[in-house]
Amino acid sequence: MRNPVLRGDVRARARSRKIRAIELFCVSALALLAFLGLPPELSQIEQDRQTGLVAALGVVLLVLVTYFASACAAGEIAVEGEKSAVDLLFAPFRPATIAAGKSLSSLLTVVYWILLGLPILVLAAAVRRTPLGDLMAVVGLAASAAWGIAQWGLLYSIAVESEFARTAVHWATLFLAFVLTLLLPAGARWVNPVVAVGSAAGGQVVLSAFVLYLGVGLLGWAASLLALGRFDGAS
Amino acid sequence: MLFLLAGLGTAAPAQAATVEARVGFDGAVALGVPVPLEVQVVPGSERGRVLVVVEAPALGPLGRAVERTVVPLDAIPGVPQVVRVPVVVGDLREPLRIRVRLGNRDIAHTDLAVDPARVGSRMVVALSAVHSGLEILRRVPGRVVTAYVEPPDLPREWQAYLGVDLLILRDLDPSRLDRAQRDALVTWVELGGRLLVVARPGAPPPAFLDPLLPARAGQERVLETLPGFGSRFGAPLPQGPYPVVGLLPREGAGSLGEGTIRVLAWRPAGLGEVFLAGFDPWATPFLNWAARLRFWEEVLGRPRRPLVDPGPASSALAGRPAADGLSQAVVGLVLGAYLGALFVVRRARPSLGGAGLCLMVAALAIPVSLGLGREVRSRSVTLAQAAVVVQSPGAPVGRVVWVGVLTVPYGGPYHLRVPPGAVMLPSDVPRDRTLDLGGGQVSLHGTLRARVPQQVLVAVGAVRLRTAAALGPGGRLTVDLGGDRLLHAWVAFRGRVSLLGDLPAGVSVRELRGARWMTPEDAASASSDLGGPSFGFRLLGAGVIMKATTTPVLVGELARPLPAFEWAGRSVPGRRTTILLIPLAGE
Repeated sequence: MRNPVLRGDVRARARSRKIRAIELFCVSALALLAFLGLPPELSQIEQDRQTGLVAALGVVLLVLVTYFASACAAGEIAVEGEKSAVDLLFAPFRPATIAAGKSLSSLLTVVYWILLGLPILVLAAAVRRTPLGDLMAVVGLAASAAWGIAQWGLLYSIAVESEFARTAVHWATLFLAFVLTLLLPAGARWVNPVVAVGSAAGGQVVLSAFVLYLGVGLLGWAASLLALGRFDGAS
Repeated sequence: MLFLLAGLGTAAPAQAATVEARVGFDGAVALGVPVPLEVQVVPGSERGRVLVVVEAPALGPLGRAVERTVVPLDAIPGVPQVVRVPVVVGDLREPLRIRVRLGNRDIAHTDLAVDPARVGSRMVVALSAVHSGLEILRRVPGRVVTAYVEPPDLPREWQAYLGVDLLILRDLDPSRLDRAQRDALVTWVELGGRLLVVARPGAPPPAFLDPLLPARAGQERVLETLPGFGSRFGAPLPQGPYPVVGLLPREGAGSLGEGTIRVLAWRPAGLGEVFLAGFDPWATPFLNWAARLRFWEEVLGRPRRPLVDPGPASSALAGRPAADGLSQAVVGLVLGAYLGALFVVRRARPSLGGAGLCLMVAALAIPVSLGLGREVRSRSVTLAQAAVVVQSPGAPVGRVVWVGVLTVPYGGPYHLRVPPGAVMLPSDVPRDRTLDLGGGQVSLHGTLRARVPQQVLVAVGAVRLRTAAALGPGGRLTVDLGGDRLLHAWVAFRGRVSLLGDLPAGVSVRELRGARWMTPEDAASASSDLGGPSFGFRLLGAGVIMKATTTPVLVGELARPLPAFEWAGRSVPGRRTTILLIPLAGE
């Protein structure tokens, strides 16, 4: 952790009561769902595996982690002791250092939360005979989608000054990602993270979705870097 | 090198294994019931343990399925070996495939198509030197197929006769039947088979069948006609001569003849019926008889509905698949413990070190989750089953139909042991499954899909049992249960039920005169007031036990358990009941 911004954010998040509450909330939600979803499912005759519970847990994990990661990055949830990207411009850090540090701290947070939820997903996968490869695909997709959208949260924290406007744009982004993409033609609906996670739990290859979310994240990160550079030049 | 090549060139070429097979009785089969299959394997140059795999296709609501029967053999190069197993033909469009496997490869295989012309709804099998004479049976309503067999063709499991409606023994040299064939034949008759034995002058009936026969063979003579036949069947017989063996009917037997000259006798034998003909139905004058069809119709009898129909049993036995309660509680505790551990660690150490400790807790929890998940799955398996035994009257044997519902709630493989001596019957929803006949114990294995996690298991077999019940004048019911007890007993007759309560071992008497006859529904509630609902009512309600029995039947739960389906390796939860049915004989 040579990046001072990353080091500072990780320490702040490790100490934060809000972050602790968020991670316990996420894990508790998963645990409750896993417990309630334990009885076997009987509805569709053709399917060989009961992927419903694993898909449901994957979707809940995806939605919670994506929201909380992007909200923290956008400053909608203010983490105690964590400085915003714009504030860090007044410290002797280059915009690239700030953008990289913020992005990596988002990634580490996402991965940490997912790892805490992983035992519950493994339990559901073991009960429902979901192959661990499919489970890993679910987890990878959730991580890439959460990180990708969090990068846009980072951009909003830099480019949108008004807190209300920032929250509105953040929610609009989530609405676009999770709801409006459902209006796409059936062949392109894999763009929706929930659809992609559900497909991954059912054993379908979703490499394109994974690449897409990474691309969306890199785009958001590049835009954040650009916005920071402009902000730095202006100040 | 040249010598080596020369040696290779002169070495005897490896001989290929061959396999040949015959199914049914002279190719005649009945669908959906076991029929005999004979497979002859010549191993060629292979040595060691080979597997004979019989793949019988079936068609059901879930699509095509294949039932495999696996029989191990110790192959000796060039030495022919014969495997005989009962097999169920379920789909005529696909042939039976017989493979001989050594390790992971087929060393021989053959496809055995069943001729649709040899499939009937009723089957008459004749052991006769003359392979004709039964063509007239084609005119009997329903599709009757006839087959002529030789003694070695007779099965060694009585269940392989289940598709046979009438077996005719005309030219039987008893020395050509082994012990297993004799036992199978006798058991089949006692458990519902219909047998016609032809006793001709100079060819007495086989001695091993004597206890079943309705008459003893008497004096041989030659008659001009068969007495009584013309008036009974509506047409005079052609002029003889008819060489006959006079019959001496036994107690309880019906007979046809004139005066003391009886030439046809019949009597129930257990659940079956045996005819003894003192004349030859293949004799030329008889073959020209106009009323021959009516004679054969009477001997063949009408198709009988069995007392026990396993078809609807799944509805009586199956419950909704559910996770095991204890497993659910353990999962709840483990999840709570995991959450608690995360909370305590993060609260005690709100730092990077605390987060690292939480990751360690998660890493430790993953193998625990894996093990717990597997345990939840395996503990949720249930196997509910009922063995319905029908006592063969007067014989020390009962016909058992095992009906089980195996539930593997999350899907997955299963491995069951089949009750000893039982033969599996197809269920309404056939699935891929394998019957392994190796090691002296038949095992059944397959994989259930998660969305359709229940499999109905049906098997039929015989059990040594000697109980009796008789209805005397004035409605006096005498029951002899030997060493067994019967719980929640009741008598069923023409759709009505009269409750008797528990019956003790030994002989007991109950008065049915003035007894309250109820509908099964009323009886079910009354039965629960009398100390516990009888599972038999559930089977009665589902139609497993015939409701409208024209013969009074005593029904109850047998207090002693019978062999049943077992989950290999451990016991699994699930109701296990034995229901005994005793057809009531009149005194």
